[in-house]
Amino acid sequence: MAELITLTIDGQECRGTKGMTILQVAKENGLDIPTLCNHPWLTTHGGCRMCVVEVEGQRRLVTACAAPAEDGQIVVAHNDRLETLRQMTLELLFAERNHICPFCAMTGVCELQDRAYEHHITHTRYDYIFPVLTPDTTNPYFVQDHNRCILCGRCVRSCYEIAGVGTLGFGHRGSQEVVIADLGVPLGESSCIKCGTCVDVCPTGALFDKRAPYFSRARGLERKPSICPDDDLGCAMNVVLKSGLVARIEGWTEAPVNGPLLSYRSRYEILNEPHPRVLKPRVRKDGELVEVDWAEALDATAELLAKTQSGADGHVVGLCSTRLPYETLASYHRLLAEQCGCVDVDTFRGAQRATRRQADDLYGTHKECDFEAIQQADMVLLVGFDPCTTHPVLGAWLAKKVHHDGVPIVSISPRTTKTAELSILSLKPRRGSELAVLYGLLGQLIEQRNLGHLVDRLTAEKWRSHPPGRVSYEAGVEEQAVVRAAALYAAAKNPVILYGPDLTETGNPTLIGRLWEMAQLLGHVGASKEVMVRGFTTGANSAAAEQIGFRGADMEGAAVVYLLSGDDPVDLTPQLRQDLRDAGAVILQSAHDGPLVQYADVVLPSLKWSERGGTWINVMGVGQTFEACTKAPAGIKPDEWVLTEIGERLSAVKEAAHE
Amino acid sequence: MAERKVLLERYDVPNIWELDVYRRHGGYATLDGLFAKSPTDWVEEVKASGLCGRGGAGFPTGVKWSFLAKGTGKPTYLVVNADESEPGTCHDRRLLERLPHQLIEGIINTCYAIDAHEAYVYIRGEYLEPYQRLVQAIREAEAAGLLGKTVAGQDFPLRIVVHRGAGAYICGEETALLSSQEGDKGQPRQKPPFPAVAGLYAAPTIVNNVQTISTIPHIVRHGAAWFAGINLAPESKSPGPRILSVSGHVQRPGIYEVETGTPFEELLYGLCGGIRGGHDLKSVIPGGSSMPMLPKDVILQTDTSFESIRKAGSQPGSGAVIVMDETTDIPTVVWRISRFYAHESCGKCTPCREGNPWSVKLLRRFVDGTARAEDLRILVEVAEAMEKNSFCPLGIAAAWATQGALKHFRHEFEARISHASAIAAGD
Repeated sequence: MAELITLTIDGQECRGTKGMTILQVAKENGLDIPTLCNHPWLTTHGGCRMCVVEVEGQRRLVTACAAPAEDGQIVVAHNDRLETLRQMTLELLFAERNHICPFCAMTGVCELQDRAYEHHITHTRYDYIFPVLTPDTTNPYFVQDHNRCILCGRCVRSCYEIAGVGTLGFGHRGSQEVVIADLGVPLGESSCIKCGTCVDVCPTGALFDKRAPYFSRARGLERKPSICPDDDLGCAMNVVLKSGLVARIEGWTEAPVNGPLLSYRSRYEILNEPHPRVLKPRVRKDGELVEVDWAEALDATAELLAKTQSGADGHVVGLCSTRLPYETLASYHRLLAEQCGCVDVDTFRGAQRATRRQADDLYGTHKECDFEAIQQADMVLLVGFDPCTTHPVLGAWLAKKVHHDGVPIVSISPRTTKTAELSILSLKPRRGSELAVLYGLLGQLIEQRNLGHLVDRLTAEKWRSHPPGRVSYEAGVEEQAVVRAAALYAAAKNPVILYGPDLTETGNPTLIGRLWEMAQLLGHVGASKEVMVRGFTTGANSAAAEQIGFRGADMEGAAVVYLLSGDDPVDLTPQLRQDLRDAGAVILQSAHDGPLVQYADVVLPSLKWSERGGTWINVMGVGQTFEACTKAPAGIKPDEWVLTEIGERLSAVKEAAHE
Repeated sequence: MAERKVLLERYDVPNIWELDVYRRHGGYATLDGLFAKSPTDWVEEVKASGLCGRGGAGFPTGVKWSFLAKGTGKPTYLVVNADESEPGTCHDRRLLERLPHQLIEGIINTCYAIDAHEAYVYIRGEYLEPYQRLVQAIREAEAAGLLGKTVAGQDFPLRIVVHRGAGAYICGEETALLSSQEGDKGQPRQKPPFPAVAGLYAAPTIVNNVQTISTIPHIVRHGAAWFAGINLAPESKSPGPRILSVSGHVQRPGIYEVETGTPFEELLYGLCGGIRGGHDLKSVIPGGSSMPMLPKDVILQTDTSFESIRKAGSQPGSGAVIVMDETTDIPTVVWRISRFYAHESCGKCTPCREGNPWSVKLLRRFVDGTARAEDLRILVEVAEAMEKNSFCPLGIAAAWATQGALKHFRHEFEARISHASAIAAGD
């Protein structure tokens, strides 16, 4: 229980708890102390000098953002002297660079502007300095305009503290100081991960979205939380709406998994729609897709499904996107499994989950580690996983671990990965030789920690037959790298193993089994009994699909393929192309007029991410429910309505046949 | 009166920077008695001596040591501030160049007292020869078993790491120095936490100046009472010998080690041989360019004790005495000092970053005689904003230069307001 304290600010009695700053106490008690460099997500900087207050008994002024609140303190936050100092500070800031509001992209959403109005700054008594500073537009998503910068350091802190990369820093000094990327390279060529957190925290127009300058002003904006449908971390975000349209995406402080951190994909890429929307249903007539009304399209769909169901000319295959909410996935599964008697229902990229399922069957079900364990880890082994590409928020967490705590990361992947740059050691085995590397690691681990008595005879034979020399020969990795990777893993107190899509897509459950074994071996000598392994998949709602019972689909000899893709940019592999070509008929429910359309016999419009509400379950089983943020264009019906309509038609056909 | 040479006693001995020469002249004698007493006894001894930091702030050294956080589970570090960059100060350079072993002896003494096994010397990047001498001396000491896994055969490991700065005045400020030492940009940090609680690598750290640490062996050797007795001003609580760098318009500028309480009159007219060329004294900055200047009539009533200088309205600072005779143009001096601070401001806080360039431009108008009537008022307000509101002492010091000059020589500024502007303003 925190110790309660009482202090007086501007004559008002304020309550707080020990450990709070004067500013926090003032805010909690509804008192306003002006700030610029302070931000609730970040550590204190104390540089702008706006929040200076007088504290009785202290010789000098103190910054409220940094000064700890003490019981019985008497604080003066507003008087003429402080007002003069704040005005002077603002005057200095305004003369520093180009702060001419009418020509700024962020006028109306600027804290410097707000402070200026509050403190009645009408002009500065000194000439503008107007240094020549070129805006940096090399980042694809946002612009850095040094002319609007007040050097508050929020971006610099957020880049290190939230994004973990520390790309931004201060260059030069004094009034020549500028915020630079790395050692002064253009942002677009820097180590920036383009997460955009710096844009969120910038108080002025020094950093702004390329997509939404001028358009996303403070007035009339609405904010609705939503979820990033891209990966299975369950990253929540704030969708900023203007007149019902998405203006931009912001970090959301209350996001349970990711906090204010977003990836470039959830913040920017999600707003890009590469293909036009499907606005009306279409049916293929004489080889051409023709726009029809909903009734006709739904009838055609039901007819196709019913025919297949009753006839002997093949089976129905259902494939749907894991970006959809739980409710839609469940309805889809019910329609196909119960009403069409279809056993081949899966999601796109279902192989990732299937491998894991097979591993469960072979090696017994394991409870894998949670986020907490990943945060606590003092060593991370990545297997077939490139979080910096597929799960950028997790990538940023790992970067933070490396840069803040010096945690070693070892990466094993046959591909060249972005995460390899963070790794202390990166093993690149030949494709298909991953197992040899894992046996090699296992063997080294057993040898280095003397764990031979813990493994059964069969495994022992396997690892004995994989000394580093043989691993090196089979997999094309250096002998020493195998030894060192095992040593790093063996030396750690709380190591975790994270595997990803590259591993699960191999379809080899033995790989996962070996990882579990490695974790268990160390668990025997360490404290933890839980298996410190966690697999990640692409697709936000993979865990929900698994719960509902999507169990894999056999595309071979399909009569009808029913694809519910929504706005999923489906990876059209050669295999999938062939399967779709071979299928008797293809029903496609899609938001976009993408490459899948060419294979479809019936096209039904669908929703995109912002038009959907429902529940998403992330990789750790955390459920999050959100409402739709935007309305679908006229004529587009919700997916569940479509599924219900098809279901009703199927029932009608069934009844008719029965009579 | 003469100088009171303690730290500089062996200064003129040929090759005193070599270990055996230094040892022949009583060097490292303190190690015999050091380990006989407990570390806390030594902290108390230094407290009792009344030694105040020689770097600028003048905080009592022993008291600072006693603030060290205990039981943090982290090591304690000693960082020696050898980033001597205060304009007018040049005595640390000499101490490093000629008496590096005196500093090392002081580091050993201090580290034992504060239980540190790792000491860092952050040395000004431009000090190449002092750096080389210091590194050479450390190697000699290591080879002689005075540093390393054991110190003089005692179970007390100690390592000294020398780190060269890259040319920033701000890195003389202790928290900025620590940031720079850690590899970050040299910018001051928020206090609290103070370095004694969370300093270098967030571990308890003592930052002391070269002269302060070089004084420690003498206290260890002769005792606190002896040190406290080196004091001519009975009311002064900052005893001991202090080295002053005298520069400017005196006959014999240089570094002088004097007893606390030596009158400035004695220093300037006695030791330094008076003002050059028969000119009259105009003003003196008693503690480096960071401190307010004092006019002739005030400085000649002042002595070198910390209390006397503070009473006169200035600060003892780093001990750089800058002497200006009657030919000196005060607005030009202040303009030149302000340029230095504008150049050296780190950029962290608004008042210092922007206030300094403002001041420079305003002062330039006074130098040129083109100042407007309101410029004086703005100059005062900017200085006030900087003095009250800067993050670290750099901005405050920059303001003091202007404020000190305006306090005593306002008329020289008023005389530079252009006639036309004065008429326009109705003055």
